Parts: sequence; structure tokens; C-alpha cells
Amino acid sequence: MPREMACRACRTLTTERTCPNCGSTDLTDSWSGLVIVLNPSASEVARLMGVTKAGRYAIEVH
Amino acid sequence: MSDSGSAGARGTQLFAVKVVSGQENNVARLIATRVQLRGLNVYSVLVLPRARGYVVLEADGIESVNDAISGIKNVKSVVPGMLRIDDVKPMLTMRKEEVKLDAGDLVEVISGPFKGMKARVVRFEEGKKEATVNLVDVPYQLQVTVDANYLRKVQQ
Repeated sequence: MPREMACRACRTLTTERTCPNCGSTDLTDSWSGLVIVLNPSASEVARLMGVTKAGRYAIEVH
Repeated sequence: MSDSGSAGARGTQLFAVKVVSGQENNVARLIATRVQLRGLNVYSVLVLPRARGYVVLEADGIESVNDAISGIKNVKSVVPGMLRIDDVKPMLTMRKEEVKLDAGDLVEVISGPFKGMKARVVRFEEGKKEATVNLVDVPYQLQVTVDANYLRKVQQ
């Protein structure tokens, strides 16, 4: 499985060349921590992160 | 960690689950898949940086957590008690700090073809967020211009 890259703009993790969430091409393989948001409307964690879509996100993007 | 715990503003609770060290991301992915398949009330799964051997589940209660982890490979046990949302809040809300470099600063290149090399800043263009640096790990003088986001200041 190819290494996931994190979007520097929205922290979304992806294996694509552009971020599927915001369309940014500013991706990095230097990230740590992982949040899998399953139910963004009920999740306090998602609210704190400013996330409105379910998906995989990095906690720290370097 | 508290015994009584404190639910988040939306009534969610955080539970730490002990897992085999190094398997945090795999376990998190397996748990997420099970939650989606069974429609469990687990709202998010977290692997916190610098917390090896633990995965954190945000759920409506311990029953949902037990359903989500039972029988999953590399899961050891649920840690008694709950985490407070305030324990993880600083990590989640952390914004990337603005890069500010000065000429003469020693930096490390953290991405791109020169990743891992040390360099000294010659010039920093704040508007473009670009820095011209001299690589110090090479035996000859090599000046390159790189995105400031690819540089991390090294404490001197």
C-alpha cells in the first residue's frame, strides 16, 4: 500500500496527487497521528478539528 | 484520565484501548471498518502522536467500544476510566505555526530531494515563503531555494 500523504491545508490523508477534500496539491509525507472520523455530526473530536466530512486525517502535519 | 470522566459537549466519551505497539494504525483501520459495517456508535478513532501502544475511541459508551474491539487482532484491553476531551484538545486544535526564518539560521530540510540535510539560511522571502539556503552537509557549496514549509529550524 503506498504511503499516505497529508494535505497541508486541511490535514486530509490521501494516496492521490491532489487532496480529495480541498483540491490542494500541497501534500507532505511528513505527518504524525491519525484521526478516523466516522460520524462528524456527532463527534466532538471532529468539531475541535474543524472537520465536517468523514474520513482519515493527520493530527500533526510538518 | 479520570474515573468519572467527562463527556464532551455532544455527550461523547473517550476511551483508551491498549494495543500492540507499532500496530496502532492497523488496529484503528480495522476498528473503523467494523464500526461502519455494524453501525456502532463510535464517532471517531484516534492514534495520538507519541502515545505508542494506545488507540483512542470516541463513542457514546463503553458498550460500543467493547463491540468495536472484541476479537480484533493486536488489541489487548480497554484502559479503565475515560480520557477527558481536554486531554487531547491541544493536539487536535494545534495549528501549523507560521515559518519565520532569518539569515544565518541553521535549518533541517524535512521534505523534498534534500530531505534530512542541514542547511544555513542565506535569504528568506517572507512574501513567497521561500528560503535560499546553503547546504552544510555537502563538501562543496550548494545554494538552493526551497519552500519555507520544507525547513525546520534547528536549535543551536
